[in-house]
Amino acid sequence: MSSDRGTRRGGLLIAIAAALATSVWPGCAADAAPRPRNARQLPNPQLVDQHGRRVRFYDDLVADRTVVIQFMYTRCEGACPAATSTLVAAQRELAELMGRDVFFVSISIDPARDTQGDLAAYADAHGVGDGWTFVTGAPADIEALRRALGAYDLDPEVDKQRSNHSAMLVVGNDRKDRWTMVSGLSTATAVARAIRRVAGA
Amino acid sequence: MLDRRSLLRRGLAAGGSLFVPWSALRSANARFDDPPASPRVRPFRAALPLPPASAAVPPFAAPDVVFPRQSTNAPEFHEIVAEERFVQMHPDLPPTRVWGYRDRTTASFPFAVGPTLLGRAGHPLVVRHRNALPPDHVGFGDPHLTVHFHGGHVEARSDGFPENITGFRPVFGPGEQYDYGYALLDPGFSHGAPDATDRPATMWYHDHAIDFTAQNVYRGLVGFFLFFDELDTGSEATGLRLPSGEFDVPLAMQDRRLDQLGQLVYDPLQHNGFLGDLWLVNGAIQPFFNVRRRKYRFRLLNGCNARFLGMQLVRENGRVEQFDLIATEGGLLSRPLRDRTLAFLSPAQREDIVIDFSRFAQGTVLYLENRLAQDDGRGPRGTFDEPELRTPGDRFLKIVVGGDAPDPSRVPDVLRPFEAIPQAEIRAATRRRFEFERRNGSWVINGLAVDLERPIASAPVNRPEVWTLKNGGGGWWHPIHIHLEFMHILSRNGAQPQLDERDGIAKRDVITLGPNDEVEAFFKFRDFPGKWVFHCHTLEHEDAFMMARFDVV
Repeated sequence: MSSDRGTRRGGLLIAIAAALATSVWPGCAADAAPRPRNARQLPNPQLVDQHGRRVRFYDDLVADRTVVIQFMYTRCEGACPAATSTLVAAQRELAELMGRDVFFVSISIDPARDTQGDLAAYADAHGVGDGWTFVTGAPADIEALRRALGAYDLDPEVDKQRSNHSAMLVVGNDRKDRWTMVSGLSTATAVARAIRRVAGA
Repeated sequence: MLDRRSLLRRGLAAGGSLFVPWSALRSANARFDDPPASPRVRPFRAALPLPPASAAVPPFAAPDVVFPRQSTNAPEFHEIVAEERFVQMHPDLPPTRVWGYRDRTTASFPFAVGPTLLGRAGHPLVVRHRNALPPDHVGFGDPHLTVHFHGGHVEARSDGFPENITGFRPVFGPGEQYDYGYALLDPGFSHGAPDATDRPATMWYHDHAIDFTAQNVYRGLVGFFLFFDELDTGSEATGLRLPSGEFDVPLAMQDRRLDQLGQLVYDPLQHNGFLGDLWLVNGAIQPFFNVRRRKYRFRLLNGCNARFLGMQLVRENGRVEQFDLIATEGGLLSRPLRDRTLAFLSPAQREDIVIDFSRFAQGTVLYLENRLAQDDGRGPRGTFDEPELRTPGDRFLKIVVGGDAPDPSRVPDVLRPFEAIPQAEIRAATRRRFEFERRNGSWVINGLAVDLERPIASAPVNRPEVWTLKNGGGGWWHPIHIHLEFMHILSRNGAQPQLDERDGIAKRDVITLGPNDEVEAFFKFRDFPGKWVFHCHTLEHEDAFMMARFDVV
């Protein structure tokens, strides 16, 4: 137990440092007055998509939409291939909604290596269709997004290893401020159902 | 085995010497998972809310409810409405918008916890749940509902399965309703072997919608469901004569977070387990309760999403007092476990305790205090056998001892005796093993994320089963709830379980898996073929897919 304790205390310090460094609190504020989970609550960094376009995370990819957010990197041999293929299949099940009500966003957590070209090639290789954006950006911005969207591990040793990265998919409806997570390790049917439920479709 | 925990539980270690001081480092406030702190309010200003029992309504047509032929009594009908409403959680705060269950017979229901359903052995209930939640709701929570009868032994369609799947549609949306049938027959009735020793005591009902259970329960969709029979009669003149009526008090303990306007704060993007920093009992923040100098039965429910509770009865100066444990989730114990000092409650667990306040002088002040230390959704500090306690703890309820009152109630030396499962039956059991782990930031059982279209196991009806539940580690705790039947716990980490979960004395419907724990549980899935689930009852873990379907075939 004592070594476990030590890890957890270390985790606290690192977590505080991370919180201070990014100045991001991902929580949702009062919802007494209905309002969307807006840019004050989600980071809005500038990112680059697989087509080389500059996009703002919240303004261009999330606002007024139902989104599914995946954290991945093109060289991943762990959870990404499974999660990506689940999303590809879910994309087919949601064909009538994709790019209209429902959008997918895949965020590279290896921004130092993943170029726009890498993301475009990855999207092509997986048969990605309309309404699915792959983005990369400044490492600090990506880290802030990862924290804000809950895709981190409380254990800093686990969190450090990129191959352990989160396979959870964040599913959110910005207009309804309704957010949940589904596992990228689950089936396309389960993922598509969750997306429909959150979209209200 | 005499470890520290059993000492604590037996009350031999009462006093302060074993309590570890609260780490200064941990109280540094700013943890990454912590949202901003709730507003400070004066403790013990609100009276303990006592939500009323649900009242019967005239019979209505409920064609979806078909009771088994063994159910011979006329059903009683109830109607419960899920609605959005404002409740006063504390006199210093503005009313808080919650989702709550309301009894249809009351126009206004100023409680954050729903009406209490009262069941009696063999007397069926039809409960119509109407969904009057706002269809255009904005904010956390999903107004598509399914109501789990937690602790009940009922047909699958009335159990609150989490999702509409192929051929099975238990979820109802805003403007819709769903009729639940609770036959309340003794388990084994369909095989000519009804087991009257397998009856519940304190149960609850709560929302169970897939992906959104944590959010919906946190918003308030919970209520008690109490069970009575010829032993546990609800009267101090009959049966076991346990403390009854106004002296039988359900206490739902929950943690919550509020913003400066008194509104619920929740973070749906954090699935480690959400912790509140306000201590609520029956929907009020740190209420007070005036008692008379006599025995009371307190039905303790851990209604928190992710917080484990180690409840102690303490005096103003922190001195720990004793109580008798008479029931767990699995109903009355074989015999009371007397003179205990700690009620350890994982999320969703219940323990009924009896406190004799005649031991205390009029004017004595006592508190129900949580002395577990927990910093995040991983679980409390220490181990299941040796939880780390701190003093002072967090005071949930202030109890003020008043004047004398007649007390015909008793806690007899025998409650509801039952035999431990015989070795021959254990040897004949089908063995299954389920490992609960974190994988890539997601939760899995035997490596699988939940897929409600497919069962992870299919168990033949009424055959003995022994399931080994293993915590895969990483420092996380998981309270595992298996629907349909109570569990007889055969071993914990290879050793005989402690008294409050030992077969022959207690049954459980939630098994606590501390880090790396391994527990063997026995059951038979009697009476009801169908689709069921088991899952972690840390609700954020459940929603993040630590759940599996099993079928009884």
